[in-house]
Amino acid sequence: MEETTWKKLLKFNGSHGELVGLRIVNNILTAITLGFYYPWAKVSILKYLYSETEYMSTRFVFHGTGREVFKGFIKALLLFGSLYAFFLYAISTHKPFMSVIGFLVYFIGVFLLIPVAIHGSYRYRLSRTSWRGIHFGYRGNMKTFFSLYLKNLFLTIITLGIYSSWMHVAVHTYIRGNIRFGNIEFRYEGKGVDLFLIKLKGIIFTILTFGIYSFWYYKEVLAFEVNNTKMIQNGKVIPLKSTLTAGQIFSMIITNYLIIIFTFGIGTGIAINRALRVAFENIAFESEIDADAILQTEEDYKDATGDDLAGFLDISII
Amino acid sequence: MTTLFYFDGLSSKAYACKIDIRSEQVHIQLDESLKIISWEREDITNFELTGNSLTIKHGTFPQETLEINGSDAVDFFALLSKDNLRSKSKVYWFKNTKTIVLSSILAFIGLCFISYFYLIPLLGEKAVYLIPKEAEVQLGQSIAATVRSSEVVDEQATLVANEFLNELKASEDYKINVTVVKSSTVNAFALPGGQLFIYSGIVDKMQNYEEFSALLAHEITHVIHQHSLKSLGRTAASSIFIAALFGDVSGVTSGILDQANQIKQLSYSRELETQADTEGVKWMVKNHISPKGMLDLMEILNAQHDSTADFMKYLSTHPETNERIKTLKNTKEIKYTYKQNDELVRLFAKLKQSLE
Repeated sequence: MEETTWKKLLKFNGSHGELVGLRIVNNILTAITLGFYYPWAKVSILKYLYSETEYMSTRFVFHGTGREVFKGFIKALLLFGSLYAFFLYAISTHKPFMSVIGFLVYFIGVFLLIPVAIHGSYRYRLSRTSWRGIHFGYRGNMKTFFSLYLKNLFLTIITLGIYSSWMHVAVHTYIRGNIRFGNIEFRYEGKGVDLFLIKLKGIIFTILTFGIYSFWYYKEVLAFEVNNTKMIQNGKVIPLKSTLTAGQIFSMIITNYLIIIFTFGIGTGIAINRALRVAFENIAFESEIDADAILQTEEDYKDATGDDLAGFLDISII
Repeated sequence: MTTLFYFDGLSSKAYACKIDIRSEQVHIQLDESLKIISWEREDITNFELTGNSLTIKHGTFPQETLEINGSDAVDFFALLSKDNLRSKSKVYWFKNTKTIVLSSILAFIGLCFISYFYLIPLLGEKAVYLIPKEAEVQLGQSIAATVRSSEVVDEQATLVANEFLNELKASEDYKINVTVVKSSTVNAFALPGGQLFIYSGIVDKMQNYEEFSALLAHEITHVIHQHSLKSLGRTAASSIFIAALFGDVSGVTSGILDQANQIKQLSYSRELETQADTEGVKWMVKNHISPKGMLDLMEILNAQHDSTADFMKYLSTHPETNERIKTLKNTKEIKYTYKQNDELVRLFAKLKQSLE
């Protein structure tokens, strides 16, 4: 059998000074404009991070614009605003029944927005990302994903969280199965029970070792994510493998934590750069793709509402 | 070293090329086939300079793209930016930006200082006028209920103190209510909306009704001028400002800033105390009570605070008593004297008696 040599094809070139500077100026502008610069700030950071990330020596391009994100930002703000306004109104009636209704509407509303945000965010981000002129895309169906997400969420809640491993796998099998990079497809082959065992072992050992095992736990979770992801080009399956070690995670987390604390948060850009570098440079591919043979297949999608919703809900995507 | 690649938007094949930017057109010559592709400049959708990378897009989705990486990217960008194409250009400055970053930091720090020390607290203070009186009264009452449940209230003394208050024109805007707390502490405070709390310890040290009136005058002035709400407004505005600036980046930053804020708040609170003293004197005059009582009250406080170390006074919420006395002596009303009010004398005696 042929021996496989794993190739590290992703590279991150971000410079500490540049990202720190960019973040400083972004924060200043966001503060002065009372937050309204946020969409442009977000786009500039994404453009920077994408343009510093290389796959097979070609950088990625983020095509999103501040204007698109701003439109989505306003829509997301209105959605949240109306939910919150209803909540405040219900409380102000001083009727216990209305207060309970207001509370329920608000929280259920926020829960229902989560799958909408995830779906919208993937559609927008991926459509706005390209490599060698070929755009990524997300073909998931909103209704299918919505019911899949809620069904799994329900099962997770009634099993007091035990089902969350199976939920994670179900959600990501759907999402990754619907990601396209031109005519390259993705597949996620994780099994809920494997993730459950990793988590169970991780939690028990982390408690027994007073937290020390947590770095091995992170390593196993990340390896589970990466190793179960496959790329498929014209029928050829390309497996991925995580080469991250617990030691790397340990030194990355500890130093990043110290950097952020001792720079009073200003050095967060350095921490982001370091984390991305470690993350990208530890994903190995079994083989290269045929870089000249990817065909454009995806359509254009410019609605950033979901992406902004995800920002409000603190869901991080890619 | 500059690399130029053309992508046709249909496949990922990278075509190494050379480009020639002319006034009406952009010519792209592919290295391999020597084929020439011509773009009308007006059909260029947009072009972006991100650091040393220039991306030029042409046509509708899926667009043809030119990617230029390296030192020449900036020159190509400048060539394209001329004439009618400027509106389609965008620069994401990421490289060599020390001056931009430094100057914006400096400008911003200046702006922050001005905002944090003057603008924002003032805004918070003015916002208090937007709060309806009912809400203010309600807030005061709910805090008062909490205070009452944690302290021992002297019911009898409270009754007498309120009788004393009813003899006076306390306030047209607020219904003032006094609660006497059994405690040796020499202190008193006012809550928003008219709830006053007086510790029996301070009444014990008083000799006459003028002193007690002075204490009421001081606390009622706090209520009328909404001092506690204004302080609250200033603190809240400052915290919101800080939260907006620093986000939830680090607890350490907020801790340090919190300390700075408290010290700033102390100086504001000393300003309010001085106002309560001087306006309190006017209140006494209005009620025909000799304002000398205010000076006597200061002496009581002075005796109390003599034990405090000097340097601590900088961190005190109240101005140094000697300074307060000096300020009081500068008011024209302080020299006014009024005939003794027998009813108040009687009630004050009754109050002292109830505390024994």
